Amino acid sequence: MEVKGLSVTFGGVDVVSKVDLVLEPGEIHAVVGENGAGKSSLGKAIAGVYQPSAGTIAVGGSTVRLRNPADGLAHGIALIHQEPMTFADLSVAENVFVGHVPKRRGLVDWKQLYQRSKQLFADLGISIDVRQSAAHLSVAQQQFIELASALSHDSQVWIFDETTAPLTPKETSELFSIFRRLRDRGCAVMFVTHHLQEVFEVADRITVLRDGVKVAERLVAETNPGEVVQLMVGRDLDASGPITESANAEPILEVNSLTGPGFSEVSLTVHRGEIFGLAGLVGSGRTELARALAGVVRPTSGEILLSSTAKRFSSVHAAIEAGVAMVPEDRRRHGLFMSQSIQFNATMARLSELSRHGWLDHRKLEEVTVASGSDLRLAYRSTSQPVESLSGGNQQKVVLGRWLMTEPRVLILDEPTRGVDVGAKAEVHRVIRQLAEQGTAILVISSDLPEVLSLSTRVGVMRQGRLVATLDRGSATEESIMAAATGEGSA
Amino acid sequence: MRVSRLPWDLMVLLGLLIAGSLLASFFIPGFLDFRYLLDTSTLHAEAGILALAMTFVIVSGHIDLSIASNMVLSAVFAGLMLKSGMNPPLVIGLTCVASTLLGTLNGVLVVLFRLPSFLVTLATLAIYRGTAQALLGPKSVAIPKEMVGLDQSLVAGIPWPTAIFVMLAIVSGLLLHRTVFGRWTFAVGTNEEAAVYAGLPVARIKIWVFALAGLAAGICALLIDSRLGVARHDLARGLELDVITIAVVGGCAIRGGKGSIPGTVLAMLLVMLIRTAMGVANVKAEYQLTAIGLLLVLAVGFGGLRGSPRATKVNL
Amino acid sequence: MKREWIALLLIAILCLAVGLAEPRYLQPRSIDSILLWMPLTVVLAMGQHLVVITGGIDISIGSILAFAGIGVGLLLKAQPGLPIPLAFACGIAIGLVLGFVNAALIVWLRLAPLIATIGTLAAFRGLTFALSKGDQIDGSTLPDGLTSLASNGVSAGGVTVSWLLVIGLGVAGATALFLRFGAAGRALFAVGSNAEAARLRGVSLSKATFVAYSTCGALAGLAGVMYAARFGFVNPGSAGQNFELTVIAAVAIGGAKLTGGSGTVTGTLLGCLLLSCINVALSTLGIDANWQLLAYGTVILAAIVVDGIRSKAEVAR
Repeated sequence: MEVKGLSVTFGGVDVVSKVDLVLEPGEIHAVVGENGAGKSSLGKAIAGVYQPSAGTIAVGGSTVRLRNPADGLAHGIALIHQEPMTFADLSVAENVFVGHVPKRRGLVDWKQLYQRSKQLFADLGISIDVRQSAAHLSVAQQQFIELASALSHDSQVWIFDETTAPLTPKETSELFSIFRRLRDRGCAVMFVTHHLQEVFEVADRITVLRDGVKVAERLVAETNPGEVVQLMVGRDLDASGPITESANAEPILEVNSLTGPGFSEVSLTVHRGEIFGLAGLVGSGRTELARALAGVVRPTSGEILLSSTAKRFSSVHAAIEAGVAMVPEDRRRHGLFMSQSIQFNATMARLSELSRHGWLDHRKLEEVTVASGSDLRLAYRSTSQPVESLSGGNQQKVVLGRWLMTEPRVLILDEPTRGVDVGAKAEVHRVIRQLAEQGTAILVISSDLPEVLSLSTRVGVMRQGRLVATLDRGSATEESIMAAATGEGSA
Repeated sequence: MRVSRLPWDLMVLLGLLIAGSLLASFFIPGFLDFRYLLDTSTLHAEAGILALAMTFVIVSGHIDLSIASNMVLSAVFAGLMLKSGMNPPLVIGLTCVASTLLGTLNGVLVVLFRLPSFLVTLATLAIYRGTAQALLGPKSVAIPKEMVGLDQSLVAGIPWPTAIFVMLAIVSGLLLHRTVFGRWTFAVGTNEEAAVYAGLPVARIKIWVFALAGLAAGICALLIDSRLGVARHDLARGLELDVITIAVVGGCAIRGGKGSIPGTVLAMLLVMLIRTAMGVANVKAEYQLTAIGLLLVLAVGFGGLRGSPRATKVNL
Repeated sequence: MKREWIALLLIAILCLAVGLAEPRYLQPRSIDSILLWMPLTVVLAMGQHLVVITGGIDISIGSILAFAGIGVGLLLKAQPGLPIPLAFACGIAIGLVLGFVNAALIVWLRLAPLIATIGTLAAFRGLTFALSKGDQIDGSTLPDGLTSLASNGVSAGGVTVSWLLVIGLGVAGATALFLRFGAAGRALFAVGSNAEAARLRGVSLSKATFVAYSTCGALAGLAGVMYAARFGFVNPGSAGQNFELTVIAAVAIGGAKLTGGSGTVTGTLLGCLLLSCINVALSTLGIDANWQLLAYGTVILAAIVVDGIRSKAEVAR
């Protein structure tokens, strides 16, 4: 399987630019890069999910054109998603065979369906009841269904897109043994990730992407994590640190043994002017904690104190009133009204306050939107422009602007720079630091460890719903954070 | 609220309206007689008023199929109260309260059980009209003389129902496009989850929108009682089709988040024009039905094609 | 508890309660009327069942029924010697075409199923009037061979299973087999359960939509001919009016998820039986037909509210 000069373009921007890549049979090939480096897009283009704007994909020497993932499967290319796509109403066995059920004389052959899926799971070394409904499976089990499905197509090229992010360490090692099993069968395995530790554990070869461009290819045996990190980042890691030291500042947000859906017994304090980073694997309960702090869901026990006063938020609105604001992780789903204007989006959380007795004051709305735009250096033509016409970075600035308008004492940012270009990322970081200087208490959730390290005064690490470590600037390193997040000794 | 795109949609509608009027007056001499059109407009005021309320419902991302049934039940309710000799102002008040409650019930069911509104209101469509039928059977209630004939009397030269429609159009236009509530309605319809994260009282907004539809049904119930002089369970059968057609032709996107009152008003005029022209040309009511059905399908169809090409979701 | 058992339990309770109040209810004559009421609903419900599994809805079935009924009636008027099976074939063909139109609107014009079929509900009804010029098809034009399908059948113990019901049960059996053993049938479940995932796996959403709505239309066409057989006349205005509500109620009671992805033919059949029992119970108890609509509406609402509570509980888990 060979890729030549592959580019993927979204809205005029190359997210993948002229990448050459060879996936050899019997080899585990890791593709690494920072968030937004284009590694997922590359995998999706190879599997037929995205259409490349330039370049060729060749399987077994002949060039192919993949119009959709089904085409990819037909050519023996399987893509395993981070968030698997499951049919909750169907049985496990049928999930495996959706799209190509075994038939006998034109009719679905259920006996063969169950037998073959049982065999597939056995080949993968997984025990699961294939007749049960897929409605209540864990994420890992759902991934196994996709694996079995790919195996049933006799796929020769396997692309794993950040598959380990939602898994527990035990599940991850199970997955890696499957990687090796596939390699030993002579399949080509492509593993997209940003966890270097995992790369050095399982991969044979590494390709590093930065800003959509392939910057290096190395055999794992001939390189080391330090070199790869440097290639990924392309600069020295030591960015400018936060200015304010928190030691003597007053506590703004105090959380005492807070428990709720997805997290338990979390206690932490964020001081005035402090940036508290919250690290952990996807699914470790960080987002759930943030949602409880912002009043989206209600905690079941424990307490939240703001400036030493206990608070109980019955709604998001109550949290806003109390001075807590959250910029949610999934911008398109939870943050923005995509088809509506910049002004509509920017003023939504403060609409009542910006109006007179329920009547919109268009002049005022316009004023605050323009002011917010210039504060954040938003690039736009007009405030009536729909936000869907903005770039990811500018969209994030609109959401950020909306929450800054509420003048929060506590600002929670969940993955504030995901899918944002480098320039906008720097801009968002600048704003965060500036807010901290002005005395806002800030909680930043991020899977981007360099970001966490460069922004935070202190770093909390969550694992399986609990806050397992709080590291100060001196002791926080990528290694110490990952060790705490995975619950394993430092690599 | 796509202010920037609104004029274009409106212009297309206006163009259609003008072209349609010219065409109609070319084939049917004397069609564009102002007096005649004003008189006819009273026949369409109810559909128009319901469409104003439906605009709110659709903009919020929902639909109310029960709106015409609600009107019929309220009309029967009002008729029975009048027959029992209650004094008219009280009846007017009680009818509006009752219809608003019926609308609110839709909203509460949608919010409480997180059900799709088309299912809930399909059920209440049957329940409301079914209740009217169970109450009256095949009989009809005569409306007392003093309440009949509002459509024959004028205010400032305009028939009352039409005047009420114009007034309500202005009020709804202000409410939808100039108030916080209106913007919230757009927000909930564009992205409900984002509305929750932005701290909007989403459940309350939805219930309000359905209550508004109920109130409109009550007002129309009184108008239709007064216009027809009788209340029966089988009045206005299929009126929801006209109402939804008007809202959709007026630019409401069935997925929510898009729509406007000026658009709905123009669409109401367009549907009225088509219906009237067909009526004058002696086209039977049943064929008119076909035309309205086609209009609905075409309006959504072309709206859909212009819209996001990635909208593959089949569910409403 | 499985939905089928709930439906069965409700039927048993209903029969017992009504039987106690009015013993006539459990006698062969009333059972006959229950069985005679069922076939139309069953045939229509099977079509709706397919559509509901894909996560869609078809409101236009009553109008398709009327159009096919009138169409075949006119055909029989013009060709009195037309063999009965051919008449059925024509009804099915007419329905198939109209169902295809629905699917085309949904797939090619990307209409929401509700809107598309509300539109065609009106359009097809109008066309029915155009076709019939407003006249109804009378019993005189319908051959005895057709109308006897309702009165004759397999009798046992004083209870008659009419040929119409045999057709209905045959359709139900075929639907069950199709959904269980047809690759296209399984695709309907996949699409209704997770449309995006189905697309990624190469299952065509358009194909599933065409299959579901065309079949639904064809069955409504079949029901049109059965309607003529059952009632001995077809009126362009009243034939099939409000049938969509009855049928959606039957499917909802049967436990098919109205948002798509699951549902059993047995459940839907029991839904039809329950509605049939309610219907005959109303008349046996001397409650007039004016309560019917209210009863259906209440039953639909109850069914979807129960589903709503269930899926809420599911989310909470």
